[in-house]
Amino acid sequence: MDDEAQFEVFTRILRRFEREGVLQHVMLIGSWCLRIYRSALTGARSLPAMRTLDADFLIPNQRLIKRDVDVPALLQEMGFTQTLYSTSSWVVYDHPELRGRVPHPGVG
Amino acid sequence: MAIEAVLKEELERLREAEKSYRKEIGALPKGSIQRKRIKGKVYLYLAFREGKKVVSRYLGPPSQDLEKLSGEIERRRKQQQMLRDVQRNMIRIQRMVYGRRSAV
Repeated sequence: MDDEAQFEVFTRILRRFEREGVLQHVMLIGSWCLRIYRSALTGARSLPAMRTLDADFLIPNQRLIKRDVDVPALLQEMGFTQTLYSTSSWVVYDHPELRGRVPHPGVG
Repeated sequence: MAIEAVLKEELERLREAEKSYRKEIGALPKGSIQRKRIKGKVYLYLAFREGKKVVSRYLGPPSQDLEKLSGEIERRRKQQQMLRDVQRNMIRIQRMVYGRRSAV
């Protein structure tokens, strides 16, 4: 659990979202925002480094996304492996540094 | 202690990831593709290790199927690196939680 290595994988995901044209349609919420602030803002080192293991994204308005993006394929290209297939709502992908959860196809 | 619980949760996550990477690697082809030029034409061979020996198996001239095989071999190599990273992280966390001597 190396903070820098974890953050590097996370920013690679964000850059990939940007290349796919969807970054502007997603909103990062939760404790990972603080990690971004620590990195992006001077004087923000006093913000706590603790955060949850999951980074959560909200899609405020799905209808604005005009192209299909295969997020599972994108994660697998980045070295994630599918570890759990929950029959409820989520498919789980793991990387040495991070976990990603994607809604089950058909759920959202 | 909250931090210990988080570390144990991360350790469990890494164990799941290790299983999954091993399974994925097991399903992908081993070896590397070698190109040989014979009398001006290119032929492909799959080189892999069987025990102590290195075996070279003839695949044929370049084709789309062989491009796909090449992609799968490359993926195996990348996932093997991911597996090593997972195992390295597991050792680090086991030491944090259980101390150096008890790390399994």
